[in-house]
Amino acid sequence: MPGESLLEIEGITKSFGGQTVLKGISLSIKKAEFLTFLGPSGCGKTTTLRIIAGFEDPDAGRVLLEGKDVTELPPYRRDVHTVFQHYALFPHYNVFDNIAFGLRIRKLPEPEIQSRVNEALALVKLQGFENRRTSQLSGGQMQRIALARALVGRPALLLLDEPLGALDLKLRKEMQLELKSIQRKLGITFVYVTHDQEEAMTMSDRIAVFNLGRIEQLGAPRDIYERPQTSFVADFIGAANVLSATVLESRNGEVRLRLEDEVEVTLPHQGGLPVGKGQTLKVAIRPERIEVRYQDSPANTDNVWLKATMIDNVYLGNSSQIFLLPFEKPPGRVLMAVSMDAEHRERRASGATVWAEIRPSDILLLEPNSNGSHA
Amino acid sequence: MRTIIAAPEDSALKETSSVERALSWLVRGKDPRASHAMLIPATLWLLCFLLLPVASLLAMSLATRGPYSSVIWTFTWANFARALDHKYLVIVLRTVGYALSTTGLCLILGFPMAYFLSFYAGKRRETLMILLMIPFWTSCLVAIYSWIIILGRAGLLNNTLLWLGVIKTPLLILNTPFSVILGLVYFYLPFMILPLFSSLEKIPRTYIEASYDLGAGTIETFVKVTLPLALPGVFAGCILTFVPCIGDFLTAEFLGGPKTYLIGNLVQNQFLMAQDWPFGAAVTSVLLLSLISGVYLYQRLESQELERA
Repeated sequence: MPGESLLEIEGITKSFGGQTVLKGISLSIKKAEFLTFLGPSGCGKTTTLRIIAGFEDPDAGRVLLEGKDVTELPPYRRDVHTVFQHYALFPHYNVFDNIAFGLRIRKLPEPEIQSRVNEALALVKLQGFENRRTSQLSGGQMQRIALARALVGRPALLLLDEPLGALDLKLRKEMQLELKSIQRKLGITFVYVTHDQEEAMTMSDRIAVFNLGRIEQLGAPRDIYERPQTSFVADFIGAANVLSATVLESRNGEVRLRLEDEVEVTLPHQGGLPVGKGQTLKVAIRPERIEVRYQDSPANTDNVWLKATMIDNVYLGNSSQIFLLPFEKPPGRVLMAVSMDAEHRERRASGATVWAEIRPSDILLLEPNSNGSHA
Repeated sequence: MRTIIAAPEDSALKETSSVERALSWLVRGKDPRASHAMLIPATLWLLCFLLLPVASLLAMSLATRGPYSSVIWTFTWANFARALDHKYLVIVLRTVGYALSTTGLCLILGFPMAYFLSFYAGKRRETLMILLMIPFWTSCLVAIYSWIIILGRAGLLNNTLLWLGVIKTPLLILNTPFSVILGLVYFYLPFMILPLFSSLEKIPRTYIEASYDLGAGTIETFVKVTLPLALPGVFAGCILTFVPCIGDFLTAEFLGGPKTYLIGNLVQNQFLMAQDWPFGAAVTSVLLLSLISGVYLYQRLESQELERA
């Protein structure tokens, strides 16, 4: 039943050799969900996955699988299988024996093993590969066999640790879509670890963005992108212009801010973020939400118009990347705009005076001092 | 014009090329980073001190014994015929039996040690490795005399047991098959542990995690994953233990007695006591050839296994 919780992680902490890797991870994973742990290397995503699998013991906290506390259980007593980053196919077994490994451990009758292995091979589109040695497989094929081996036991939960990291770009894109369709077809819960934000956006129902041993934000890809809560999330998922802001006034669901100590804007107060007068915080603006105009604003507009100097205009084929300097005070924060308008392809002149038009709702309020994470 | 000029140039090139090729072969080799010249010292060494002595040994095995330790260079198969006599066959069988038991014991004792070193030793690994190597670095004779002091009739072990009242009369431990095998195991255990350890080290730990992950417990994982992947180390360790055991004579000489007379002792006695060098050479040749063909056969089988796999 969708919505029902499969896995609960409660206040997991972990340190290695005096270095704290996880600073309290709590998370609830729903049945049949595709959840991605996204973050830079060293953020704790893989350690969390290994704790769920049972390869590491947390220093504190609990892991509950289908309501049962499995924190103390060894990996072989958990109904969880893993697809490893470097596949970890057994070199002394052929493809069939690799996939059948878990079934033979469970002592299933040989005809059933036969039919389930065939089924798994069909699922990953590698029928006829039963007798191949693992050394005869390409990277993509090994990945599929590793997936078949993990799925054939029909686990409640499948963990995938950067499984596509070693594949080339084209194959990776193909596999992303295939993984997603396999997950939908089987209705198995996937927890997927990656540092690739595009991969996370393509496949996930929800994304947990990790940074410095904490979950910065947990939500649907769309929420994460459109409503980032911290400057780390805004910057890590897609590109973002992160500006400093001071709250001048907050009332009637509207916030008046001064950006970069220079420009005053009024925007709707989104989210539950408490803001008080005089508070300093950060805002994010997506580059594609900044329109570059060559004339000043029309008389009556609700949008923010910033007069700016065009520093550079980079032609990227289907789009243009335009760098603007709207603030006069040093150091002078540069705004990046991305536009697909053909207009900008012609106008390449730098140093021209232009205007940046931004809808107030596209100026995203971020939590002040989010773990001090953003460099 | 061009062709006329080209012709002499060509021949000049050819003339220098044979000398040059030989020189460049010496200096460079196929791999530009390596030079065949580097092989000269080792080749000369092996030629003078291994190949020539072995060749002279083989030649001597076909000669006849002269008075004292002299050799009369007349061709004969007699030495080999004598070497295959049943009274020597008993010694051969005994030697093989001792070598096999030593190898088996070394494997039984060595595998858990290598496993512990590789999987659980952690920071203590360096220290434990050094402890393991100490018998290696100790002079063979010192070690043997230590064993004599421990195992002798009035030795440390007997005295302790007598003092504790466990036994009434001293046990006969020294100069028995037991003491010989004990000595052999003591000397060759590191030869077993090191290859085992290195092959256990080479097993990526994710294979073991993958096995746990798929539901295999510790014993099943050991039997189905760790052990099969450590087999090359098991074979290497067995060969490295078995082969020197076959040729060992010091251990049997000092820790053994008349009942533990091994091929090594036979060879030694032919050269030093009986002064029958041709017969000693024949026994050595038989031993050498059977060991070489045994190891060669094993490697052939292994590479076939690999090809099949």
